[in-house]
Amino acid sequence: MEKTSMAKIGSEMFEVEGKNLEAAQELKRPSLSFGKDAVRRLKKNKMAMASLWILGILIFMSVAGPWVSKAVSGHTYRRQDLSQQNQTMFMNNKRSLKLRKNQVLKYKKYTYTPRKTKLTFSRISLKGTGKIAFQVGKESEYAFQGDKKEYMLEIETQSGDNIASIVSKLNEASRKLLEEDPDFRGVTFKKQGNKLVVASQGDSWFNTRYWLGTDEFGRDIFTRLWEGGRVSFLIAFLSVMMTILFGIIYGGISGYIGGKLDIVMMRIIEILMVIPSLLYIILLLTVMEPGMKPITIVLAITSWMGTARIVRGEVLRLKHSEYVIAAETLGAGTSRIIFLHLIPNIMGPIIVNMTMMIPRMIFAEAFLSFIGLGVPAPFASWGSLVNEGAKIFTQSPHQLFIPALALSLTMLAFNILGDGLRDALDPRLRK
Amino acid sequence: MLKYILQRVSYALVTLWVIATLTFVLMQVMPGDPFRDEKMSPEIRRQLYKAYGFDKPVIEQYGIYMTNLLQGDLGTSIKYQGRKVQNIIKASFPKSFSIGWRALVFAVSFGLVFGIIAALNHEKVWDYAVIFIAIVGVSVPSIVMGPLLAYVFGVNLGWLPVTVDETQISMILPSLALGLGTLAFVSRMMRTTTLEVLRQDYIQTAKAKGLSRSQIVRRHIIRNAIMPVVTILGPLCASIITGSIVVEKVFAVAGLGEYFTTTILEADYPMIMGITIFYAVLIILSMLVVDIAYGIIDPKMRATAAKGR
Repeated sequence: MEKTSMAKIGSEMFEVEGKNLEAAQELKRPSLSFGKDAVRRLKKNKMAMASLWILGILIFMSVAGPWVSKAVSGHTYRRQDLSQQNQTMFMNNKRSLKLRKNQVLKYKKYTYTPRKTKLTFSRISLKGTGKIAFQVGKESEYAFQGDKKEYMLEIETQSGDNIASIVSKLNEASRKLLEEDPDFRGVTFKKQGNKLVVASQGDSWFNTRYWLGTDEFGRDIFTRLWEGGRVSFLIAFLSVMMTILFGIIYGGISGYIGGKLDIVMMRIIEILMVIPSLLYIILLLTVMEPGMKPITIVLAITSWMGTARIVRGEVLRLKHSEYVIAAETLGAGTSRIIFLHLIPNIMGPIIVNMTMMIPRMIFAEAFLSFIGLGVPAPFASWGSLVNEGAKIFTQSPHQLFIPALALSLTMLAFNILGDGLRDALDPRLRK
Repeated sequence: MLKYILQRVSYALVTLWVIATLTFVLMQVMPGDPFRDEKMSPEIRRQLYKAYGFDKPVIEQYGIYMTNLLQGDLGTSIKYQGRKVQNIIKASFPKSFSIGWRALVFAVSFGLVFGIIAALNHEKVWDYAVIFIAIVGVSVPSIVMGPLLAYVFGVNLGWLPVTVDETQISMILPSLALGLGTLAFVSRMMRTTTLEVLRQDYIQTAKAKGLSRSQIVRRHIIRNAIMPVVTILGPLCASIITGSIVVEKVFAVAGLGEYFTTTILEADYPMIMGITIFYAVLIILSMLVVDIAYGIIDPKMRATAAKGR
């Protein structure tokens, strides 16, 4: 049955359309080079693209930020104004509070906001009768930098008073003080369950002069943040460049020449890799003068081993490929083969390695600044800013959080971008 | 097996020698010297040089230094006059250690559990939660994590003490701060290896045999997935040891790390050298122990050893 139906189809039933070799050769889609393909795959990775944007913004701000703040309000990273210390992004004129006298209330403990504008006493109960007084204004521990006025809010209780009546008496005293002097701005007392919340009143407004506030010396944090970004990025980029350069030379020679030389060179790397590098960075830096140059150099000379290993591995993989043999046959020299034939073909892993190294360098620099071996004093880096902020974060947490956020965001973005680049550039992971 | 252990030990010994020599060379090429006081008269300086043995030829100094090292003598501190460096280490290290081991245990145990949970719930909510923790933990450096935890739990919520004393509760925050990065790393790695194991044929076989889910997890998945994680325990110890330098500064632990940071600023060279060597020895020893332990635990390694390789 099948056979007969097949036989019916003869060649006369077909019509020759004519040969068109050119049309057959024509490419329906544009050809993709390796680089273009990698970019296409990277673009599909939303997280990596977001990281790229974040990094772009951070780097742009590190370049432009100090100029902008210099042009707009004349701040530089080292200009101090001791009358303007420890300001926040949003200024407020709430007065600080302090319990001065207390014969009345018993409480378990009290918590306070960084500037002590709000105190919370937990598990309050009556202790006795007598005076209770709050000091409001400059003499308290962390005063608002303003009019330098201070007030004492004091009441005396009688034996019949309970907590509710004490609270209303305190509120009444506050109202009286406010009537006498509007600059007092008021303090409210509130009983919430068995807690007493004492909060000073006032306005808040955006700090137009210092956008991100000031540090303990009255220096502009916005300027110092981006100035610090410059230092951190510059140290990281330069040290990674040096690392890559040395890694390529060492790994290329070791992998291409091979034999006994390779064994010796790899043994050296194995030993160097076991040495805890951070300790030796510290040791080297105690020897050298502090500054950007020694940090960059020390970071580079203690971290090239990983790159060298990767380069060696890739070179070993590629050195018997046809194009290398062809180049050898044509009489190309060793260095020509390594640097013109092999290295361009292993740029993928090298770029991934670079992206992964940068956050490590930024971290190492921050670590060094944190323990006091970073860039010297008036200069800023993200590590030294975090260090300065960490000293006084109970009073003004923003001085810690702003550089900490910048530092963490940069490391996060580089890590995600590194992962994305590895997926995009590594052909072995293609599905 | 013996050959493997011998090889590891000899590597460690060579590395220790390199470190000791490198430290000595650095001490020699150092431009300044510990007695930087300009008012000091030359006689006193000469006396001090003699007392610290700086007047002898370099080779002889190296010999003395190495023999002292072998006897566990790390020299005398300049800042803490008359105190031997090894005695200072002996006094302060237990505090660092008590935080360090807690951090390591916390990081490894929770990291393993998180990694397994993530892999078993691949591409579900728990998986993404663990990936998020892992990325944040790796990216937020300890110098940020320490003050951040201190602020949130110590100052803002007031739940935990910010400075360390003898109590257990005061060690929670520093151990957390020290361990979180490691936890992130372990959970990420455990997740990857578990996913790898889940794809293996023997898991299919186990399912086909009718083993219960918990039996498969316990007998097949964990046992196979945990091996690569064991290999990175050595470097993890190293990162916890160097991380302790930061964390001790943040939480005012009077441990070795804090001594280290203060002596760096004071340029107390014998102390810096001594503590560096001590840290290096500690790190290399922990790596050695992990390497050997791995060789003993891993059935594949045991098998190759039994064949007499």
